[in-house]
Amino acid sequence: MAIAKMVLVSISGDREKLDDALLCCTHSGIFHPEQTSSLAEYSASPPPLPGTSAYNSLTTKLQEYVTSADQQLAQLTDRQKEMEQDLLSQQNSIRFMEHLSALDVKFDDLWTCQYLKVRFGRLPQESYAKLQYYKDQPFAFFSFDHDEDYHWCMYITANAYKAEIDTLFSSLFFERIHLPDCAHGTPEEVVALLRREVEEQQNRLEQVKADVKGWNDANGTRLATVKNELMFMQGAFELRKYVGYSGKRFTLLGFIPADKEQEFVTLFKGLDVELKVSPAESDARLNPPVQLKNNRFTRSFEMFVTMYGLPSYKDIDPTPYVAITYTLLFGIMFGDLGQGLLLSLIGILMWKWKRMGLGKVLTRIGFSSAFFGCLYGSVFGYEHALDPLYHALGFAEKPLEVMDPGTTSSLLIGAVGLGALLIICSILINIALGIRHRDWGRALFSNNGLAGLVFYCSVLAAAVSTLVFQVNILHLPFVLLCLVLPLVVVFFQEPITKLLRHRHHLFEAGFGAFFVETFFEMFEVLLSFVTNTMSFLRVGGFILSHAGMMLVVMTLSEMVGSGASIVVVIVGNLFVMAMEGLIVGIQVLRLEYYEIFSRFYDGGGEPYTPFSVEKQPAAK
Amino acid sequence: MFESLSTKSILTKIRVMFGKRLKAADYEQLVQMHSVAEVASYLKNSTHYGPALASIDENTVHRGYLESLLRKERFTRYMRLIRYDFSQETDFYRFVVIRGEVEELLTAVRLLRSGASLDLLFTLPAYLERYASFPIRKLATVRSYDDLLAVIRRTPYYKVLELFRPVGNEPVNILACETALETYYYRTILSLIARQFRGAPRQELESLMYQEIEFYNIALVYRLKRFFRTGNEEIRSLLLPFDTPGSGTILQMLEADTFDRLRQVLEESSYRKFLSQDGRDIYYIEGFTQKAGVSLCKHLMRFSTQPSSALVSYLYLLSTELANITNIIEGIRYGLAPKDIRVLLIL
Repeated sequence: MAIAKMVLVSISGDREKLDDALLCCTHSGIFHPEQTSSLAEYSASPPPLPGTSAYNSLTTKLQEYVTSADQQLAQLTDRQKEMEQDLLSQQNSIRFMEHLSALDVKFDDLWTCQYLKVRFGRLPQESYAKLQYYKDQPFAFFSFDHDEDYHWCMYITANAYKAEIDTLFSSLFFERIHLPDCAHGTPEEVVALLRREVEEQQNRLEQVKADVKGWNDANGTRLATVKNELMFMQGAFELRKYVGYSGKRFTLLGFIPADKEQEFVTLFKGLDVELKVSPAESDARLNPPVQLKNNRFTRSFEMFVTMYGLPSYKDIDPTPYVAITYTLLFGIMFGDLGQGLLLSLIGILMWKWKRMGLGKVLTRIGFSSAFFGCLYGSVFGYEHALDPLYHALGFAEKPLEVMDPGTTSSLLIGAVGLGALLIICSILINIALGIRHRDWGRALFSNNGLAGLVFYCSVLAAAVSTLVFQVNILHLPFVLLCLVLPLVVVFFQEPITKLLRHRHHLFEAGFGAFFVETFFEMFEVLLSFVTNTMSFLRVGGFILSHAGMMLVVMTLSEMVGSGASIVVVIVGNLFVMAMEGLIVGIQVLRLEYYEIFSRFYDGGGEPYTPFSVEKQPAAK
Repeated sequence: MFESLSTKSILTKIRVMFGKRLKAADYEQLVQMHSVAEVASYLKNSTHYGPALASIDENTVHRGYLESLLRKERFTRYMRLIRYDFSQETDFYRFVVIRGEVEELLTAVRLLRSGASLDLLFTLPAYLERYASFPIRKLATVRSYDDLLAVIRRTPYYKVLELFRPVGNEPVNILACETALETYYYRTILSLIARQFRGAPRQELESLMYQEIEFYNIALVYRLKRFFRTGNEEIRSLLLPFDTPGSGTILQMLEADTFDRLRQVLEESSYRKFLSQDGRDIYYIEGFTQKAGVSLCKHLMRFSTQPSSALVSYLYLLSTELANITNIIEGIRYGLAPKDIRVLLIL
């Protein structure tokens, strides 16, 4: 349960050294800045921003470099675009020429007609049907090819009627297509010629593309470096808003992880600034940021904790506790060897392909599910598939027969027992936290402190001894000491705590108001013990519901023919996995948040977000 | 129950189609363009007209063909929607076809007067031919009013237009024909609504139709008074003879003797919110009435629970969208600045 240790760093120096210090901080990538100017001693007005003069020489150099690079690249890309357009136009011409393959006249013969005008193009089908109404007009129309929407065609008219007929065809939405300059022979000959030209053009285009790539390879890295440098300077400049000033000096406060202190200090060697490192909590006005630090197994469960809220720096990181309880509860509620392993596989794929954090969680809880599947003897709903294994291990039957009526009540009682254990653990954590913070009210007198623990354990002990061992331990001393006294302590938690802190005004709004308010709060306290414990009944409930749903799948598969049976089993398994997996996942999260977190966890920590500038990868 | 369910599903379908309409951002992109090819490319690649324009080559497509494809798309959508569940009320849903027939007849009458009937072919919607009650294409071959009547001999239009057969060399009275055809159209639609609908659907549809009639009459009075200085009696004879909720406004407009008074009447009417606030002249009165129509139809599209009125509203809005696209294309062709094209758009 670890929260990374931080140290508070104070960097101060002459204002002239500010930019160098900021660059070092940015470069470190581990510096979490604090709003220093908000502290009274550093709230002098900041110096005027530097004019452009500081960057003049750099800007001029950059401008020259960028202009020359831009010109070189523009030349190449313009050529590439031009060639691509030519290529497209040639390919269009080929397509058009192919539609004209029925034309058995050479183009030259058409072009040399002295008194006739020839137009090639395409006419919409609708307009083609209307041509019959213009039979008396002076033109000849030839359609060479057609599809659903267009006719590829040619019309010929006399020079004298050119304008009139062109207008007519334009009104009929004729789309004129200009033939390429090489159109001299028959369409087949033109197509062959165009194909050769396209091939040559493609080769030339490839060469230009290679040139562009060569240029990128040669200049991309340098451009990326320049950009990175600029972004870096920009980033360092943005860090200025955190800086505080006093007199002619600047001060910047921030946090860095304690284990990287040496590395950070080394960066400032040779720089004429003062660097002071002190414990994270040395300045009470600053709230140290929180960086969770967990091992490979538990790290993926951090998402559930951050979803609720980060712990504060003084608290403990509940991630390992969540990881263990979540994995355990999910496994119990969703116990199936086959489905569990499949869930793990899906989790691995989700992580590998999509880098989804949930994938890692699925992988872990899938194995837990598989483990409990072994206990229940369930593999994809086949409840006796593991029997040979149990027999080989010397067992007469599987360890837990979920659907056996005798087992049901044990399962439910076991679930409540597990719940009680988790609640006790949560109260113990709260007590530990209370002691660590020297908050005695929280550790000893609250409903989640020692008083609450004594009361809760006593009730449990009384219930178990009466119901299981038929021994009544509810004698007067026990009732007074273990039940009434803790409740009275919880009732007077607030004034007792104040008394310990030597504070006056034990009842700020008067005893009456305190009594009424606390009296009703006690109902909630008592109720929450009962409801939180009973809430764990769902753990047992889901074991039964999982087995029940798989029983339905198996019954359905038996009802259909042997061919469809396997399909029903597969679809049923997938359905149960998707639906129940989701529900169980959410229910366990609910148990974590409401039944466990509510007893000891506050959240409210500030995340550790070191200031850094993202680097631009080199151009490809 | 199933009927009610299917009603809801059609309503949803219509609203989904409405949701894909061109938005202000699309129009802004379009008005900034420099050529018909760019407009065609945008419509084909970035809007709901993509499938309808799949076959065109953006670089060579003819402006007229582009517009005709868009008009055809409107009809295709109408056909697609009425196929869902308007089976029991089929007659009313012929209103699009009847409207198309009336439009073509009006075009034929106008072209007949100018002696260029064949030009009808240029804009003839081929998709309408299959559903029309007479061979529309034959209208292109008519050389006289009698030829025109012969084409529509077996249809109700014959009785409507027969009354205006010119005597001797007298020219065809286009305005009278228009009034008669429009009157026929609205009478037919209103009687179909009265026959086939009850309750809320009937009320909404009737109110929509009366609103359309009112828009027509307002535009007519305004145009004739403002630009043609036509006498009140003649204007009165050309009005569509229906008692609409805003008949009072139309009568006041008729009595107005100056343009300022005309504008004042509109400012005092329920349409005042559609008048431009900067006191500019209303040269383009259809823009004003369309704006009011669009507002009404958008309201119905959002709040009506009747698929019939939603369908009518959707088609109206689609027509406005087409008019906007046409205006943009025209504007670009004539080299108008984006700000001048923007004025023409009805949003």
